[in-house]
Amino acid sequence: MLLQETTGGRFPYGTISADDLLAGLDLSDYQALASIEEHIKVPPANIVFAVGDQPRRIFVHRSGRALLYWTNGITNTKNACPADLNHIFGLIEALSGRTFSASMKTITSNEFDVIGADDLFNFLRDQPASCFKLAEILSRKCQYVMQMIRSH
Amino acid sequence: MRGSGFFCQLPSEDLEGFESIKVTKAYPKGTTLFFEGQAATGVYMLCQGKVKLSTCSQVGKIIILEIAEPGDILGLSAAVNGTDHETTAEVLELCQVNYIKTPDLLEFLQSNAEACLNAARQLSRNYQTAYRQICALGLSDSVADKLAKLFLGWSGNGSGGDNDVHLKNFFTHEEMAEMIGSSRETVTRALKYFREQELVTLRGSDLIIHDRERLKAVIGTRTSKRSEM
Repeated sequence: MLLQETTGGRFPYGTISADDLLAGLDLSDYQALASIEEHIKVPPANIVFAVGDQPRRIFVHRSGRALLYWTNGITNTKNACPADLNHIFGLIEALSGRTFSASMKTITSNEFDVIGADDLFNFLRDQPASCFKLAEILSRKCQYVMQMIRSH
Repeated sequence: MRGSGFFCQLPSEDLEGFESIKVTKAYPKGTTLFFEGQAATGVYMLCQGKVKLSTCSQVGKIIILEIAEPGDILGLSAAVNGTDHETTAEVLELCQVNYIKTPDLLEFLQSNAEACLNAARQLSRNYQTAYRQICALGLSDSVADKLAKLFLGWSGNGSGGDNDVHLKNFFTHEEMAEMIGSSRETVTRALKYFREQELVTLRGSDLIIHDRERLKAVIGTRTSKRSEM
């Protein structure tokens, strides 16, 4: 299997930093979030989620090394890049109603905070400030991608 | 009557607030709602009709990003970021929109988490659509491949037998070229090749894919004339 990194070694569909999204929550909000999270440990060489899976659960990558694998739909080339720590995987897919476009496989032992997608959305509905921050983050991502298209 | 768009499913009490800040307008075909680079003074929530969203590359090539349909919110990322519009929006069919000024929209989103979550859903879809466009533009250098993928993408909405698909096509060769980042002349040559190979026939507004599987198989095989197509 030929693997090649994308330009800059970044997962092309992007993820969201948990620190960016959740910064500014007060203690009671963090406690509310902790009550809906499940902390899991995944051994090496395990699949965390796979291409085509429905994003029913959101994964916050807390420790360990893991790789994201995906196939470019145009050229059929295999791609891989490291999964960023403290980034949220599955949130953009859950919001857009699409399935996971990459698979994640652990290299070492990893730890994740896992939240049900519906539970996270219910939490965000009580957090207008975090919701708006999410919209701002996604807007910036949209603009970044548009700059890439214009530079073609 | 509530439509199927993200904002149309808000609870009744939130809809009242929304009703007070929106202005409903209708625009005929050919109207430009906003230009790329123009300050984002508001957003357009498409209730009826279709709108073409395009951008201009550094070398002046027009790239069509998508055709917005009812339920889509146009200009949202620019309004949330407080920047200029990244695209030009041109009405393709008579459309009805709800226009909301940017300050009113931001105030509504900041005080209404459900509406904000719906806005995040729209932005996520926009983001993923734009990234797919990058892949299509940057990594497939054969126009025939891009055109084949465009038709195969449309073929889900067509009628026909097991493998042949009949579609209605409303786009000119020029517009198809803009969708895939190519030129009208090259698209015309690619369509001639498809017709000669009995893969796709375009007759007026009738687009016939004779054999979807054969069309899929063609992708990636045309290397000898890559410089031309």
